[in-house]
Amino acid sequence: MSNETSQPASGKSPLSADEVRRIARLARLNPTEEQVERYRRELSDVLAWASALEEVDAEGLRPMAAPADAESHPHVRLDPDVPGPMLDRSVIDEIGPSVDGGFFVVPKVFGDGGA
Amino acid sequence: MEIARAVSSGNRRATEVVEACLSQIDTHNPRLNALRAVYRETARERARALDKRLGAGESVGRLAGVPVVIKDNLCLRSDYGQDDEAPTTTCGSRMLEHYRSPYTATAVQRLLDEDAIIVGTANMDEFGMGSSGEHCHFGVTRNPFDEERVPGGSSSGCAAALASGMVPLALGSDTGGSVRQPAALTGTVGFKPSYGRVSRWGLIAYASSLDCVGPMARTVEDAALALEVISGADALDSTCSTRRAESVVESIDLELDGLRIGVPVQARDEANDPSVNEALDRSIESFRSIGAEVIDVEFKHVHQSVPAYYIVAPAEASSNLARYDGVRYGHRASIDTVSSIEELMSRSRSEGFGPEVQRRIMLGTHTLSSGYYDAYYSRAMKMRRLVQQEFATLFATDPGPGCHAVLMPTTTGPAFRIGEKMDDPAMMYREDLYTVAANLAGLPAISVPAGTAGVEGKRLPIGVQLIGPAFEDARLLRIARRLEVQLAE
Repeated sequence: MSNETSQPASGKSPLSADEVRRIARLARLNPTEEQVERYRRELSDVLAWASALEEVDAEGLRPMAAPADAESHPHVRLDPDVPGPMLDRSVIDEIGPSVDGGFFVVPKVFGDGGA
Repeated sequence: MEIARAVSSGNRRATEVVEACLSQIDTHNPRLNALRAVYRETARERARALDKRLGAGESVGRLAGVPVVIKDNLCLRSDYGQDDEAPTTTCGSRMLEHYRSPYTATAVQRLLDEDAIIVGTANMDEFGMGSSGEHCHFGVTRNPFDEERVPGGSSSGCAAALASGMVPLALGSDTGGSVRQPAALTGTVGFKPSYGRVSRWGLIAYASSLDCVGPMARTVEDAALALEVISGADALDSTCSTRRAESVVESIDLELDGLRIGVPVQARDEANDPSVNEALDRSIESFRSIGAEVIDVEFKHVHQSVPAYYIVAPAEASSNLARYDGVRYGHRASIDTVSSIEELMSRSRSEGFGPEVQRRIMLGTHTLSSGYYDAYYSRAMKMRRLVQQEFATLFATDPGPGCHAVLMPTTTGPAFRIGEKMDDPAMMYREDLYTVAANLAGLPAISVPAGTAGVEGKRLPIGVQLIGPAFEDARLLRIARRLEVQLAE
């Protein structure tokens, strides 16, 4: 799917309807044509507004993914993985929207119905 | 907390407290739509059991008989409402409309363990995405001070329930201002703890590096007690700090010698409603009157913190919300209408998520996608570092002004009209101007009522915000308490 990984020329230009459809596909959303146009407009506005970040001199700054990193909060820990109590299978079955014999029911994945 | 003291000393029965609370809910909730569910019989049953224990001379918890509402993104095990309809935890979304949680959030459980009585679940902007309470699958929540206006969001129902006297305590969550902003717009207190102070176990994820569970109350002291109860390490959340949960309530009235408050010159913006700058001035005067030193400081990147937040939070949301696929739990589209599993997922998600959630998922998917990551997400993470460093400089003593807290507005103005900002996402996002920085940096922050603004013949609440160094939550609450007392005089 080369169209989903192609490099854009710039992150600044307004989005096209095709780009919005591409994003929707990646996000597993199914917008109507009307919504595509609306998202195109709104997301372009927000991205244009976010371009204010380009004016900031961020040279040499280490990206900060979370306050939990060691530099800012040494008190946050990494726990070892220890097996603990699990939810009962019946609980999972009850929550699932469609469960049959302990399996989640989905459309055919391989063959004619495959994606 | 007055109610807990009265109940545990036998001066008031828990059953009376609960009946009074249910009566307030019956009076106000139909108009305000603050609560999505009320656990009437369960609350009564818990109150009766509590009174019985007290009658038998047993000791009771620190929140004995205190009615609480919880935000609809905090899991409450579905067997809580034994005599009512089983609770659902919906996140204000059609996606989770019928979701019955098999477990209870740690913070909620800690309230229950101290004999609080959960009386209901409060409406919210879907998945915490909103600043107005308008993005809720279960309808708009209204501001008790003017029902044509929003109560703020996303902890909209918690704020409206507190301000209308339904309950004295609520548990909300704050990813970019969601307890502070609604508190400011409803004249209540909203506290966002340091990131890692309170367990996030059972808080339905929006943006995990920013999400915090936070108490909302009518007084700083009540918020402090709730914080004390819910704080502390949790084996179920490795981002939750193992630092000992310090005593907050006992120290709330301790002296604050040599108190120094920094006020960013950038926060006294001309674009603020005049009432906001007046509230800031009143707060500065209050601090000076108790001998605190109030100094002007620089917070250069306050304006850029908002776009940074609106890149980081949707990016995390797009990843967190990928779990809703219509297969394992949550809403699912009719299987008869789809031809592939991919279509089942995309249809389920498009039907289950509201417009604002879809917008943010799309935004996050885009900024994380190949070729855009550096332009947006990476840059936003650097901006986040810058915000953290700016705060660190303000709190540092040598070199640095050594501020104990930074004083800023909570919002740019009083509550706005329902519908006013719904058609312009970027305008709605600017509502979070003063609140997102504390989340980006992981700092504790509190909104305290600071007077009212006269708007169209009504008095609407205004709040001011105090932000402190990480894990200085107790001192920040002490400072806030002092401000609250001074402002009331």
